[in-house]
Amino acid sequence: MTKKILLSIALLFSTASLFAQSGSSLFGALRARHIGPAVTSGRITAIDAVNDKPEVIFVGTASGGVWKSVSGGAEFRPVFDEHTQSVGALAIDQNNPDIVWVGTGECNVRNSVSVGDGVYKTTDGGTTWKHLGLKNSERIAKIIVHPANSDIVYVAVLGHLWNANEERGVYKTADGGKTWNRILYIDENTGAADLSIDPQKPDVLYAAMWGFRRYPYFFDSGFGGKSALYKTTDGGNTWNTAHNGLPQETLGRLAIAVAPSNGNVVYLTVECKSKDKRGLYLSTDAGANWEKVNNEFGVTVRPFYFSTMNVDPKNDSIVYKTGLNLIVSENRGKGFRSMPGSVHSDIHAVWINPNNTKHVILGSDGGVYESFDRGRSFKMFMNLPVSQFYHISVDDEIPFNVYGGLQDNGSWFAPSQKSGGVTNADWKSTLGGDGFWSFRHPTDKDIVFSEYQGGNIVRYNKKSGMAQQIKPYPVGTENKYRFNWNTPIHLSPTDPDRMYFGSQFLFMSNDKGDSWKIISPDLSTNDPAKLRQKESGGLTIDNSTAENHCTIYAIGESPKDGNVIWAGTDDGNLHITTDAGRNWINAVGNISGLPKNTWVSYVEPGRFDRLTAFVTFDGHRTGDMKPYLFKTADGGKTWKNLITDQVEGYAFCIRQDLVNPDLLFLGTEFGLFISVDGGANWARFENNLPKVAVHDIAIHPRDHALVLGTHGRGAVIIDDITPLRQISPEVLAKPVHFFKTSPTILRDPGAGGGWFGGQGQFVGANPSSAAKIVYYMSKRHTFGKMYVEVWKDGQLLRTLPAGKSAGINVVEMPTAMEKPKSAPTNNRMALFGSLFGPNFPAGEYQVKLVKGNDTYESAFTLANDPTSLYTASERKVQHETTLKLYHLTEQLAYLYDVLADVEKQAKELAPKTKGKVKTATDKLAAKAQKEKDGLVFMGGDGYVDEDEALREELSDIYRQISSFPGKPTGTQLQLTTKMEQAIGELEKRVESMLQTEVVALNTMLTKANLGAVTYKTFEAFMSEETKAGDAASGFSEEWLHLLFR
Amino acid sequence: MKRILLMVLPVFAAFTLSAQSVEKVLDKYFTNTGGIEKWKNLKSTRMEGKMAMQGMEFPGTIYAKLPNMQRVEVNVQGMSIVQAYDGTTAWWINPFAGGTDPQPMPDEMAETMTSQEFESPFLNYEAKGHTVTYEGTGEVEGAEAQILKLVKKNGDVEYHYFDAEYFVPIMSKTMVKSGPAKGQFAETYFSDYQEVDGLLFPFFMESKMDGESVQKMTITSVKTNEDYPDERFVYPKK
Repeated sequence: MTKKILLSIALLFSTASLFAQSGSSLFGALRARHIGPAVTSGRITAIDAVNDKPEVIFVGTASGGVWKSVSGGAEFRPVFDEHTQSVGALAIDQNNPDIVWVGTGECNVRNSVSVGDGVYKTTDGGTTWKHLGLKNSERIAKIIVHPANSDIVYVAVLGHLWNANEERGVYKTADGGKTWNRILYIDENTGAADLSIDPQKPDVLYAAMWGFRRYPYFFDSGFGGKSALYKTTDGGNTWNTAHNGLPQETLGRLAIAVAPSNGNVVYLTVECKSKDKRGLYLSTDAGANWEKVNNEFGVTVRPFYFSTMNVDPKNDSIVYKTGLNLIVSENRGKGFRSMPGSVHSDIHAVWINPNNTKHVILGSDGGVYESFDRGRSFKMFMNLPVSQFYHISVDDEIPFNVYGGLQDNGSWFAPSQKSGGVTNADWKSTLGGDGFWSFRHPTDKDIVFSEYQGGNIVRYNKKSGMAQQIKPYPVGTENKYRFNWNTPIHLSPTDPDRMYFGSQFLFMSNDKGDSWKIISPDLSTNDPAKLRQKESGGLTIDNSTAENHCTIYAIGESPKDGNVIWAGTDDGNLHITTDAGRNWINAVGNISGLPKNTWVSYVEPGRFDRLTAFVTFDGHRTGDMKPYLFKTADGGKTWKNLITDQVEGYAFCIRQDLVNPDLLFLGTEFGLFISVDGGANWARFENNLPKVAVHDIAIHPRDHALVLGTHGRGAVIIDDITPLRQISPEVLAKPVHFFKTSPTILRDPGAGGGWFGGQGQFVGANPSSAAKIVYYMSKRHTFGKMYVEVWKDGQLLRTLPAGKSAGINVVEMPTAMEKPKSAPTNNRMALFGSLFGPNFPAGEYQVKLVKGNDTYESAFTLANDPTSLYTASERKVQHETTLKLYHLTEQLAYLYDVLADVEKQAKELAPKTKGKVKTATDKLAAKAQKEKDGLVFMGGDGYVDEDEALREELSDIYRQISSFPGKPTGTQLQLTTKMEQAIGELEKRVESMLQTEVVALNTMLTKANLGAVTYKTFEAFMSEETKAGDAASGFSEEWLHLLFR
Repeated sequence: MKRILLMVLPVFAAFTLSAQSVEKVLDKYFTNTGGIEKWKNLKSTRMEGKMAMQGMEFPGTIYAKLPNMQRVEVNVQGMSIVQAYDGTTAWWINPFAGGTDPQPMPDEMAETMTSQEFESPFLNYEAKGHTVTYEGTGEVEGAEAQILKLVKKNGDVEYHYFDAEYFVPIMSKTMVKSGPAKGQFAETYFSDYQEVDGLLFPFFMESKMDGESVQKMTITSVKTNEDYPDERFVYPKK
């Protein structure tokens, strides 16, 4: 019967149509890991906590999602990974704190800001989120939940940054988000930048409306001239401006805050052209009249970037203003003090504990900080890896290092893996400011090129820790150089000493940046209308180089021909030279389907052909959110569009694989997209990679790792992309296909680990050290047995559970032998000592994948670490000695078991015997027991009340030798010999007991018809399923919890 | 048995109305796995197998009996850990924590045990006070799935993913209610279905948290409708 069912199912398999794997499920068990940095953290946009349980904290970030802590920040967990990662506003419903609202789209509208897609709500504390509309809002500045009615929620929609749109203004729902009414609307250019409610009269709200527009080359605060402050007293049915006492001129961004303890006290910051009229205004009559109280730097600085205020919930005289620093006034704004300099600058979010108003949490461009003394001292949460990379690169060290530059957090590098994990302390800084491209010199291991905004490139020396500026300057009569905010540095793939740098001209250096040669004319449009950086900002000049324009942004030299160089500009030119810069051709006109002047975001010259290139264009700064990716195979004459509707988000970067020309990696605002067919189809990679912007991608040529520079979640690594390289239509058509894997390096034992930093420190994951058996299945395995066997020299070593997924499966085989079978002990260190087995020997191992009635065969290789400091002969001594002690441990376990067996049987027989037989039985029992008990230590407390016998001594020496990869010391070798002798003698004694006393007794027992004392053979003992009891403390509560989940 | 064979044919029906879809999915599920009458007649099971976690493997046995009695025995390092539930008290014998006497289980652990039902929660779910809704389709390890949301009488929410061709469960998902992983989804994947006494059982189960594998269980044998005394499950009173 069984056979029949299974047979029919097997038949069904063969007739079921083959599901071609092109979706995300193809990636199966390939999984990304995150290494930070969290030492820098990243830009924070919103913070809220549960008033009655302030240890429950939600943090919204600029482009790294939403994080939740239930432990006052000791641990944070990302809870919004499936959605857009840019957060503008966040609000907990304090009447039901499992309800949390998230408004996506940051409103600190800097040049590099991400985009949102509406409002979300959770009703289960963040486990699941529901999208509740305002899909086209792009940015949400504030969410206010009615203090007494959870169904009433107000949302301040700032709206589009780069173009006009009508989905902006103040929205209200009265049914928990099912439907929305736009209750305040000015026009398609003016959005709601701030909103404040009088919690005691919740029908009273103030809305700060702001006209603004950003262009790729200019920012205009005050755009349209309709910025204004509005007030409603009827829950938003009617609104009136409230400008009595405010400047009678065009206004810019306003921030508004009602004192929660006194609705008559309202604070307002005002941006306007007249410097003497800007500043902090106070109303003591609920907005009827305003009086300017302060216009110091801290209240007027960069209104577009810092426009929120918080009033102390209990004291209407205490007001906080975000800015370059967080400032606080305790006298209604007359005077302010700054938070200490140990806090990262650029503050965007503040939460004040209403039950203990000295308890303040702030969010900055560099993470979250908490104070318990109203901002006099702060500690940082060191576990929020929401850093924003612009670019990423790798070097050839073992393990390789990852380099990159971060928005407002400088340039850093760290090892891609480290014993104990990649920690905050493993990240080393090479430069401050905003960081962008950063590379280690291809051959000089001490030199790192980094830069800060506006083309300030340096040459950093790892040995000295010093950086020298190597920026090119016009020394003759050339025009002034224009450098992009994010100026391209490009290292030649064909000559380790050649590098490129771009202003409007392309520079080349052959001496590590000591001198530069201009090798191009102005490659930009040089359009005067786009050269207005110094005037940028609108009502408040904001000249930070962020709007520098008509500059080279992307450079690529062909790996196949150093004379072929591509240069793309931010104003949409794409030039190619095939003679190292003597002649340049603008190829962008040959591309059809691309709007004019679209920013060239990345150029990837083909890895296999000198005239092939892949180019991404990014029009989002003009409101064009479409991705653009084109390929040429003829040096730019003709182009092919490689974008399908499977790709989501505007495009930042494109990489062609180093081995398989059809394998492409595309980074967009909404993640990593991979094509295995040259761009005909794309699938998002989602395995432990949130929907975060991927700004740059590097492929490690030796280790086959894909390294992502994410703008919001730090550096992310997919460790082995070799399976993707082997995907082909033929592979996809097979039911099961094994991928070739690189040899797995056997890790040396005993390297150090982490220390005890508590949970407040981020620790990046390491790659698994197991050998990997990697296969593709065209269809998920659901019916019938499926498992993996690992064989060596005709012997079955392990049976492992198989991966059952369609797509790529990874089965991990530990490279260490199982721990030795040991005699029991209650000595803690001895237990620990025998907890690990030595590595399997290097060599090839055979794999059998059993799937139903079919068996598929493959192999993998284990190899010794070629970089180990210990010679092969030293390692051989170590391995052989460890194995010897391993076998001695099992030998001892066997002898102990035999003695225990004999003792137990003799004791059971004794009451049935009489006279001489009884005497012999008792004697044997006593002898076996005495011998057995002398071998091990039992009792004690498993900690400090302990003793040791042979078992414990053996484990100790086994642990000493097995945990150090080099040659054992002379003392250790002597101890090993001593152990060999002791166990040899023990074996003789046991053997003698078995051959004399036991044989003699058995003769008597047989005569008396009482059976016989028996014992196992060594082989029988070893093949028993269960381990002879190592008792006690190896297993933690947490571990047992997992086991019984 | 012929009927089972016929019914396991792939079904590509379009699902429209929720209530109708729930019944269709459950109908196919019960029919394809042996028939609803056979499931109703299932009184006990004994599953033997191996649990693998964190690179280690432990043999174990799970006994289950109507109405909701359960006993799990796992052999760790030669020591037997017993965990049992008699319908009222969840208890355990854990030589690694607390010696060889039966003890009531810590609350957090007990919760996962006491919330289990022997019978499929979908069997007579209305009478049990559960509600089931159809949640559309999704994908599980590359296989298309029909999703049912089960809200139990006590408010617990579970999502069950049925293979869209064969209508056997391939994944279920619940929110962890307590402990360090509170608020995260725990997912259990089912595969290696084999027939035992006319019923299809998954012989492999893998649990994952946030997509990361936590525990794998390979079943080596399933016995149905053996007679176990209640004492095997009942908390021994001293």
